[in-house]
Amino acid sequence: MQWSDKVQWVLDSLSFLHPELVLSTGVLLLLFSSFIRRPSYVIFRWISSLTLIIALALVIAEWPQRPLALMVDMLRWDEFASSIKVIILIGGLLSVWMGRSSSRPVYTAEYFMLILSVCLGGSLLAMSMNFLMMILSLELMSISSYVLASFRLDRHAAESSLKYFLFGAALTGVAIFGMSLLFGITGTLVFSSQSFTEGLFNHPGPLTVTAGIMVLAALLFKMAIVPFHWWAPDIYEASPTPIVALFSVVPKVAGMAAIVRLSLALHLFGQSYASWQWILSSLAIVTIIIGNLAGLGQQHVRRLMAYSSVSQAGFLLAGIATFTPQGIQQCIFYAVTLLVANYLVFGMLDHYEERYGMQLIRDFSGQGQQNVLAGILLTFGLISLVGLPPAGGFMAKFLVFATIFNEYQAGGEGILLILLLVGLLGTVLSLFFYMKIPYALYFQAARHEGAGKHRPMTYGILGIILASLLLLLFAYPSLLTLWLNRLNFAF
Amino acid sequence: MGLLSLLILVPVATALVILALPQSRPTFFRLFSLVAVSIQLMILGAGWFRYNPNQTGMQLTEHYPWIEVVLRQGERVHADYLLAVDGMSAPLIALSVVVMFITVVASFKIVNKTKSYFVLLMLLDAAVIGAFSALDLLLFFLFFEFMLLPLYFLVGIWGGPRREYAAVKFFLYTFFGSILILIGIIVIHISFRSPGVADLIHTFNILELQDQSNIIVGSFLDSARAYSWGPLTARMWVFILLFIGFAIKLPSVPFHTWLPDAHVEAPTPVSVVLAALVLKVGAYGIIRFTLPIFPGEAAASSTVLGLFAVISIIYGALNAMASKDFKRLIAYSSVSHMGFVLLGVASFNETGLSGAVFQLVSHGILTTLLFLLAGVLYDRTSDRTISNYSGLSIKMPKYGSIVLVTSMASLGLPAFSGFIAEWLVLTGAFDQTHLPDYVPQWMGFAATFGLLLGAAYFIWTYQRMFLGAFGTTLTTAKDELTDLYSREMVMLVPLVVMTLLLGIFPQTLLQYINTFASAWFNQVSPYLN
Repeated sequence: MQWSDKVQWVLDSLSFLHPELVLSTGVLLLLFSSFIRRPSYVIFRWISSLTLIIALALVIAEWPQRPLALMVDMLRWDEFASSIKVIILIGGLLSVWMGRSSSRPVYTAEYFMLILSVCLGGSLLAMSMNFLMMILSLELMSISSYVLASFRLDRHAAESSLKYFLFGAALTGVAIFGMSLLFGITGTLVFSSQSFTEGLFNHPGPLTVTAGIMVLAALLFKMAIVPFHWWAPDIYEASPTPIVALFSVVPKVAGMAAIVRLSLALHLFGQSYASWQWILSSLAIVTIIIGNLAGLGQQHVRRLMAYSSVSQAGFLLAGIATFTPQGIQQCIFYAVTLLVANYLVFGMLDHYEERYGMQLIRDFSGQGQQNVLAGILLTFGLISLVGLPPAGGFMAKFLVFATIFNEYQAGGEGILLILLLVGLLGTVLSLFFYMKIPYALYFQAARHEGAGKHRPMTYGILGIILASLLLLLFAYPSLLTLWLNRLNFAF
Repeated sequence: MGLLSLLILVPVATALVILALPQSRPTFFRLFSLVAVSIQLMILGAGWFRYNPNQTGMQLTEHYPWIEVVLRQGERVHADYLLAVDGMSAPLIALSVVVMFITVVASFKIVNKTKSYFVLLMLLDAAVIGAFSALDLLLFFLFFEFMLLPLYFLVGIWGGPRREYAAVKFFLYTFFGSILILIGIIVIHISFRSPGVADLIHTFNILELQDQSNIIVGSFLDSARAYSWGPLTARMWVFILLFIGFAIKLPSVPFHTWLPDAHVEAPTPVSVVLAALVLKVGAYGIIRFTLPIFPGEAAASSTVLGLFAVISIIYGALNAMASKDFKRLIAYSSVSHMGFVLLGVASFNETGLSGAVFQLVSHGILTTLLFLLAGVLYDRTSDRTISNYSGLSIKMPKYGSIVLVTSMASLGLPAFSGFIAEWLVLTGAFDQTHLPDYVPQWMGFAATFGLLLGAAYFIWTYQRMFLGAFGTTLTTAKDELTDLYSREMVMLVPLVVMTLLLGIFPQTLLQYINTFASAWFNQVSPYLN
């Protein structure tokens, strides 16, 4: 291919990347806006939310009709990526709007800029079809997250953020090593290409599997899959709540998208040297077990939610492990309910923390009577995370389980059956720890008499909208599933 | 909108209205709930005229598409909003509406946090009626699950001293059961298809699931494929999962230990709903689809089912006899009485099945009475220990006589509904005309012995508490032991009349049940060996 052709390709590609360009512009605007005379978080918040809304509108308006390779086989522009981008951008928007109070010192321009760059990195990661692009977008997302994680600006935050950074940097190194091995084996960096598949097919052996696992490790780390989950509890405890909510959705979903693309390529339609179905299923099994068991003993609400997010990531991975289009559809459905439920829960937790400084489960004792609306909304979000009706989480879990069983019946690996059973038992286990919060809210005597009557308008409205969405996802899952069915999942 | 949807919608709407009302007006919450259950009674009356008891099959059907997920080209998952009633669910819905009315009246005693209480009670009402009327497996499961949360809070917030322990235990037990049922539902759902369409549509429709010819060839539940996991076939495993799931709710010994705690710790009205309605959902699930979907497996394990039943009958009765707490005695008597339901089902004939369904209704009425009566005593003295009282009928003659009538009805005296139910169940169990004999003869005898034990503990308790010279070891309680108020009479007397009516004119109920039982048996019998 001529240089001029490549330049032309890059220039043509720009017209398909409007959302990303808008996000980049937003990042630059925010960087420069810290130079204005009297910086106010209101301006930053508006700039960042407008950026996200415009990007979201562009993603929806320019919905892909057919898959396209962009930027000299760097990015793939398809419906899968666009639906992931919708989830990421909504997550970013909700994080920007969480934590309205101006009492905190953290709302500088950089804070909002970093949220935008996490979203930008996530969007690009979801579109990557080239190892180089994957590592670049992954790092854009990661480095922004390392900084965001320390925004509480205390010792504890610095320590956990450093831990996160060291762990992440080491795994990035491992991933790059794995990529170089795969490049050596196949002769290409474009993992969605024909030559990559042929290269893998012609060189079966433990090396391809090892290299694949090395690359996946960096992505699994973002999803907080066991054994790459150690950072999660510390980070969740030490970071500001809107950022925790962001971490519980955006990097997870972006990582999931990249895992879907990469593992489908490695899977070779079941012809691979080692069964990737087996590998991903066993990771999901371990994640669900560890996440739920470790959650049982937690006293701090955000640590509890960290283990919750670990086990939820296990369910996302379980959907991928079926290696079927409907498994991936159910993953997206699951990710949507996870987005809504997590933001509902974190929104309410943020409200409780900001107003009353509650961080431990026992601080919540008796608050259900003091603040009825917040209590009900928080409980509803947790119900959805457990997977009980009438919340969308039930449908999401049900669809994932049904897909797993269907794939098992259609001749999948025997481990899928274990995965199904572990998933169901994990659901029972998760009931124990999720219900700790409603238990404290409603069953125990109040400790904070001073909490009193307070009607939180923004939290109330945001919470009611999210809770109604969860109800809607439960009552009319067809709204989303029929749309997902129409998506083109040709990778 | 059909009558059944209305029945479900009225309490939900009431819950929303109550939620919007200000916290400070407890009278309104009571009033609105009372209006809601009264409207439900009227809808029930309208339904009674529309329903034809002699017509086989489902009536008052409402059918709308609900969920549609494409798995792959030409293969779809489909669930419907499908409500309908037949000769089993219609009496159970009638029971639910009546019991809910009485529960709301009994709930007037609740004084703290009335708003949340009535909201939860109304949601529970909707869930119970939904579970009895849903004919889509997924829809049924949703209502079934949705009973859990309101009950968890109702027991845990308004219950007795050990309420938190009881609520958590109840929640975990039943949630574990639901997970087993969910596994079963997934396997069933993947293995069945809708008949008469070219596309492969995985169905949740219970009517289609009851037809064995709708099993997808080569799927796990295909008996020709004889797929097995370990020593048992896949079909048997799924049957066991479903059975245990519902046996927890029923409850059958050894899955019953949540029941005494939850029933004793719950406030009186919630105990009533638990015992009279929620337990019935377990039995309903077994009769409605566990057995029709797995008739061969159920018949093969009928002796085991019978054994569970007999152990429940006798173990429940013995525990009741040993109970020191009046309410605990009633709770264990429920275990014993629900054992008869399982025995009637296990004997696999029309008589036994009719008896089981009759027992569901009869026990629903009687246990409501018993829990209300225990509540009467508790309201006055906050103490239910049997040995603390004697000669109560001298001080409280009306109370004493209603307790006497209820005890007689519960122990199965002729002229009361319990007699008809237990007689039918035992006839079914002893029935030798259908071969093979599904439950051995000795089980019938053992169950009859259980009846004897029932008579023993009811009469003994009555003698200890109500006969002899009046006295109580509670120092403060003497003056508080007043006879029944008119509000209590309003709740109790109609129930006594109902149990008498069903005992003397069993045909009023049996005409519904018989139509159902023969249809059910016709459907199942081709698959019994």
